[in-house]
Amino acid sequence: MLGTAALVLSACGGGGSSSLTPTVTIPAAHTYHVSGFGPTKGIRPGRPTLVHFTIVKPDGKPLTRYREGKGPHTGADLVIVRSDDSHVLYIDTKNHPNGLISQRVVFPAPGRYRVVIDAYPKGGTALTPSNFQLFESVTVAGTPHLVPLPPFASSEVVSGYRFTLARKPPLRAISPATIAFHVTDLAGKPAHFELWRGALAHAIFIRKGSLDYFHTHVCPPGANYCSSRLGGFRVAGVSSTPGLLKVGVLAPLAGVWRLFLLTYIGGRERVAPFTLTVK
Amino acid sequence: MRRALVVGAALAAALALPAAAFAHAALLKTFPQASALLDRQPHAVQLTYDEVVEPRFAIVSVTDAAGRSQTTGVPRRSPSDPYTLEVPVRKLAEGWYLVFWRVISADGHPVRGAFTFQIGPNPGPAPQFVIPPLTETAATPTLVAARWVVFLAAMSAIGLFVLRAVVARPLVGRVAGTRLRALTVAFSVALALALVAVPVYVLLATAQFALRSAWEVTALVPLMRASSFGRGFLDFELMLALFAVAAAGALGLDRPERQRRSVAALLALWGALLAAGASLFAPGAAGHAAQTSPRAVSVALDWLHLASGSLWIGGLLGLLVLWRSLPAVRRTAGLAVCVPRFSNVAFASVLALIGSGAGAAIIHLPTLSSLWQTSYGKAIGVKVILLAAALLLAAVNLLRTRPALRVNDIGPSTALLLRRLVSGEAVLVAAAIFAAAVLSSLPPPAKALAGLGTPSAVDGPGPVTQVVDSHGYRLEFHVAPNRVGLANAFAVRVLRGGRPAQGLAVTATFTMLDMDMPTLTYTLPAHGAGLYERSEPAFVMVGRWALTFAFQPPRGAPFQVILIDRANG
Repeated sequence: MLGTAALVLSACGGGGSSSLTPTVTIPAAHTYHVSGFGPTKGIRPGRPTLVHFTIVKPDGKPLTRYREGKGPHTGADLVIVRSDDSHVLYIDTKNHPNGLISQRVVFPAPGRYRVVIDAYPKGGTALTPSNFQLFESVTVAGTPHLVPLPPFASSEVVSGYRFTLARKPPLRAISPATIAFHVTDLAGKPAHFELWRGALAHAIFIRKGSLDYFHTHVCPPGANYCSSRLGGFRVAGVSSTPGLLKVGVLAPLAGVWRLFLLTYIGGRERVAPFTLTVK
Repeated sequence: MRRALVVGAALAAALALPAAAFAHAALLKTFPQASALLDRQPHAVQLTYDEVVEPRFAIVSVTDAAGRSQTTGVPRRSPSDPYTLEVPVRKLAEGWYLVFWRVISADGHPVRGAFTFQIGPNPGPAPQFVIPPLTETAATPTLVAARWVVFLAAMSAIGLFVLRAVVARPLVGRVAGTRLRALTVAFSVALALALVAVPVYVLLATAQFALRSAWEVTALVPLMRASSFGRGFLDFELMLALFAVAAAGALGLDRPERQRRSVAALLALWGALLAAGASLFAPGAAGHAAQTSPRAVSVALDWLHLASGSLWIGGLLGLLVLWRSLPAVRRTAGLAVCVPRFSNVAFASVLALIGSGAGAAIIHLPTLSSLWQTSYGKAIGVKVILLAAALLLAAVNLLRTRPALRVNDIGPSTALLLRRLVSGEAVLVAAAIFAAAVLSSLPPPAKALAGLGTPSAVDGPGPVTQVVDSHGYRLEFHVAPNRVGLANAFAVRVLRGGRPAQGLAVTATFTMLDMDMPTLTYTLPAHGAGLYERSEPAFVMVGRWALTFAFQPPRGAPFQVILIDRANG
């Protein structure tokens, strides 16, 4: 009885010890990840470098089947951007039957690059995502000459082609918007865009500092394969007349973003960079 | 014959169950929201429940895809909201995070759940997190056994006291050379056992709450009053101790050889009875009865159930003690005094037991089918069978041995039959109390069952595919992967005349059927070709869910289809 009373009375104190807080151990998740990415260093600028890797599925097997067909959302693309946002490479890859992905890449200058692997597996379901990005980084040998991001400019000239924004766009984070670019050729006439890698234009957005990434496309009117998703939103760009690109924007974060507008005009890839501020 | 009929009716209506049962804490909201994509750092993960939960028993684990813990402290109660638990987290990198939580409800029921969130803007593909088991029961063998010992000992002690102090007291005056000392000893042993069993039970329960060994007594004792469940049972212990003191006084002052009690003895007796009655409020107040509406009725029924059960089991054990303690030559005479008096008390107790049990059943069971469709209902069924068997023995006793005792014409065979019947009845009632210990460790079925219409299909676990024809539409339902803690895809393809039906407004409402929880309703956006689909982490608990899909066609009357789905962890 006395022991019981002592037990009860001591329990009345109601103290406690955080060391007694229960705990649980959570094992590592099964996830898509990159295996065998290389090379990551010893890369020389201006020389072709064979970048190779395999995407491994949550079940441990290599991802071998990628979406095919028309439109930009196919295969596995590489978006490679230098840490100062000064250089961007948008590269298609070769997918081998065993899941190995490889491509020769020419890194333009020394420095550290973020490599975005933008993958579109075949047969997206609730368990298999239709699109995801994985990230790696590489260092290109040499002393980098980092370039500060230029301020907003409403017009950029690329190989004689002029890309013009009518005004500084009032962009807000997580708020879909469309910005219109007028593009003229060397003669000052509206430029004719060619379908290139499934779209009339690719808009790649890289955030200053963090190198956060999102990507939208501009397609012909009526294309139903063109929209990009972020959270619950979808955005798509359209080009219905020569010289006009309506680019969908859906910036996930506020900050300064570098837009690389990639088009194919006059038989060549033309990349027009813009600096945009998202509030 | 009349009494036999009443007993028969009692058997038919024997939905006798204790009102005490565990309630549970329901998760109402979280920060970050389940499956949310955050663009800025959270300083803490917050979980808001529908009741105040004890942080010292809570697990709130935040891990990245590699299984690395991201918390920098233990769960604590939010200073601004006592219903909210929060755990601080370190600076989170881009990626996916799993929040696994486990809390102990105010009345001792463990509840678990899990959800994910992302830090963006580029979190990468969704990992397949390995989630710990999402079910945990308070009905572990050790806890149920301890709970049974607590109830059996306490109820027996109270019943033995009533038998000793009230029912059997005239024995000493009417049959010379008899004493009630054996009953007093039996009562003392039962009460001492209860006084030891209650804190041991609370200690075992606290060890389970803290996921620790019960041998870590020094560390666990300060936590025993940390849960309202623990406080309730320790209050029960204190009331039993008060009852012990009052009962000792009452029995010490009582002179059974005198027909009339002294004023002091009478006051002491009433004091002890009041203490015993008051102590029987404690289990209900610490259990589900106190949280079931109408609360006053629920607690009163629980008390009546325990009190009547106490008189029954304690009286039966007391009769067996008397049998053994009475000298052989005076046994028949002694039983002739005690058994008829006890029969009257037991008969009233059984009626009260059945009435209170039936009343509690009406309160706790939302539908009749809950009796065979839920664990709670099945436990009731087992208990009813045991009580029915005990009542059968009691009826035989009433019809065979009591008339013989009344005329003091009890032969050796009848006496043996009496002892065997009482022993069997006591064993069956003790077994029914064990069933009650199991029953009161299980969550009662959700009230939502009562309002649920007729389901069109039952499916799960695993991915769900069902085709239902309703109101001229063909509806193809898909749920995948049908797992708790993950974003599940809920899709329905609507066809009319074989063609995709467009323009419908489709909502899906999720109702937990194994516990009372708030419902969740989502709109399913159209994705073309008659497909309405949404991905949400709607399953926050393992168990049966009612998925009510409501359809509003552009023209025509709205209609709904109900699927019953079992989601696993």
